[in-house]
Amino acid sequence: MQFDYNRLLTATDGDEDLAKELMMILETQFVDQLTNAERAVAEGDCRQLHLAIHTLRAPLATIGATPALELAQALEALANSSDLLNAHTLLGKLRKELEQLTADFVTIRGVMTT
Amino acid sequence: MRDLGQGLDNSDHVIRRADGTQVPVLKSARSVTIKGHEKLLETFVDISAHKQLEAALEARTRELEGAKTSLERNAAYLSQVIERLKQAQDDADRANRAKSDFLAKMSHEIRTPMNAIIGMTDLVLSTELSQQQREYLLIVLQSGENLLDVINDILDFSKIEAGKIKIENVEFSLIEVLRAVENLFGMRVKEKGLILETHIDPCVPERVMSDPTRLRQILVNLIGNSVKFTEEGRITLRVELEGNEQTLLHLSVSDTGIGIPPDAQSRIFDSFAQADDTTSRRYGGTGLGTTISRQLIELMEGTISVHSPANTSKVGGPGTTFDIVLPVTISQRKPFVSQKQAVDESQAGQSSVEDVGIQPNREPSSHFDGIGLGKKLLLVEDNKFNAILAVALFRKLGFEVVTATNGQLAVEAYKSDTFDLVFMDVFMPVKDGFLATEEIRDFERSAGRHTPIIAMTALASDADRQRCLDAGMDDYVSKPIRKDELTDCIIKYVASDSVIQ
Repeated sequence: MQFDYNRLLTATDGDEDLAKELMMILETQFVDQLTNAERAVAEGDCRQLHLAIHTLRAPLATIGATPALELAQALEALANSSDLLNAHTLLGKLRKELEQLTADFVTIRGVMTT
Repeated sequence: MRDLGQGLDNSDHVIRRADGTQVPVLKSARSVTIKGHEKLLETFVDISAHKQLEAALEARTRELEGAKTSLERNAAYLSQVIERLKQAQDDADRANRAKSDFLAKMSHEIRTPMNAIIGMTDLVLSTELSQQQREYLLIVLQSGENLLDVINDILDFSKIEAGKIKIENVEFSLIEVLRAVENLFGMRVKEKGLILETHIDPCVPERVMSDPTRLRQILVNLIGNSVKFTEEGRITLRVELEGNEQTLLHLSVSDTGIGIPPDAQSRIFDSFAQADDTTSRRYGGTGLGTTISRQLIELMEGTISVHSPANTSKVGGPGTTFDIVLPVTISQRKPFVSQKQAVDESQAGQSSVEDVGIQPNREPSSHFDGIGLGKKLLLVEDNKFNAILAVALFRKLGFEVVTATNGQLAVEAYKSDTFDLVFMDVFMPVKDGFLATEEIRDFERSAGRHTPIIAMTALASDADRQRCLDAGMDDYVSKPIRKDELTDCIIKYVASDSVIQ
């Protein structure tokens, strides 16, 4: 599991339905912001990259997704420094992390409904 | 003899002596009465010396007038020369600015397609390819990245040359800058099998005032060089305070790399200079990194020096150490050690999520549920995840919540309703939280009220937070959103009689 479900539950003050809703929102945000970030890197647009990654940062921290959060922080640092040298590599790794997180969400939601 | 008081003559003459020589004289003739007879008394005074003096004076005057005319001519000529030099200087400055502007613009124009080339190459590399195609594309990728490095250096150098770099003096967290640098190199260092370590003296304060962006850029340049020129061993960043006044920050970046020969150390800070041609051929780069670093450090009124021993160390090469001394203002005497421990703990396996603000859950804050009953709260947040979480928590506290997804909508909502509290995100599309707050405060001045506005921000530095306060916000809470922090903040701004203990 690439995130801390208990941490998410703490953030929602123990509200499991809210946690479930937030996971579903995140799934959509992962896809949208990854697309935005990849386009930004391809176009060398640091501002757009920062915006896309910044959008993910607080949610990733909220759910305790440490590896993805660290990648997001590193990408945000790159965007801030206008140095996109390693951005595509980091973005590839972030994509894998977010895909794994999405799979984790599906698993958790499956457990919640059974 | 009686002087009749009548001067009849008083004039210069030239008389001839018996020997034939001529003598200039002053002739005076007066009418006098001698024994009752009126007589004419004539006197002749030799004024040869006077005349000689007069002639010399006239000659000197003419000479001086000649000199004066000559000086005036020279002054006019010099003025023309100065004017021409000034013009030439202005032309040179203009040309230099034009050159720097051109380089900056061209670098920027090249960067954008280069990023596309690199990004797309990377995307193609993630598809199914033959071994040969993959090898070719990896060469394209590596060359593109090298070219981008060169362009970035030229862009920075041009900006400095054009005087477009402004040095800030703001309060910031030193550890955050150091960690950002570490994060940046984490992967590259790992790939090369190197160790990057940071040693921070416990006396180093947690927060200082200087320019965090430039400090970061300098460290990135120097550590980047160390990574580039080190094949084996480690790169060490040390941070200490120097001097009795403890206002000089001493940073040193040392490595176990190839080192710099003694004869090359003096020119390592020159533009486009590397240790030697072999270095350029083997490692590439513009040789601008250290130049840019030195220029930035000098703009920050600091110094940089380089040391590289001639003998070889046990590991790797002789290594290089760059020493930087920067004047900083210490804004908090709180030592670094507490932050350092936090980093050490996170590196020792603790969740680094704690570093961005999440702390273990404190005692339940459910006894504050209902604190917002009968109160209306405006939540301004564009991120759906954050908005839904915050709305749920605010409602749990009893608030009626109205939401806006950008600053413009927030201002409109604020003008058409009455709120007890506003929670405002900072970065939003259309209109950001700073502008929206300023407009709300302008509106309030005419309406004669003041509603607490709390920033919800992931911005970490005090300078960022100060910017929130400067925009007219009353307070701030950090993201990610935590119920206990929200509650603590709300208690400060809602009426105390509504707090249900």
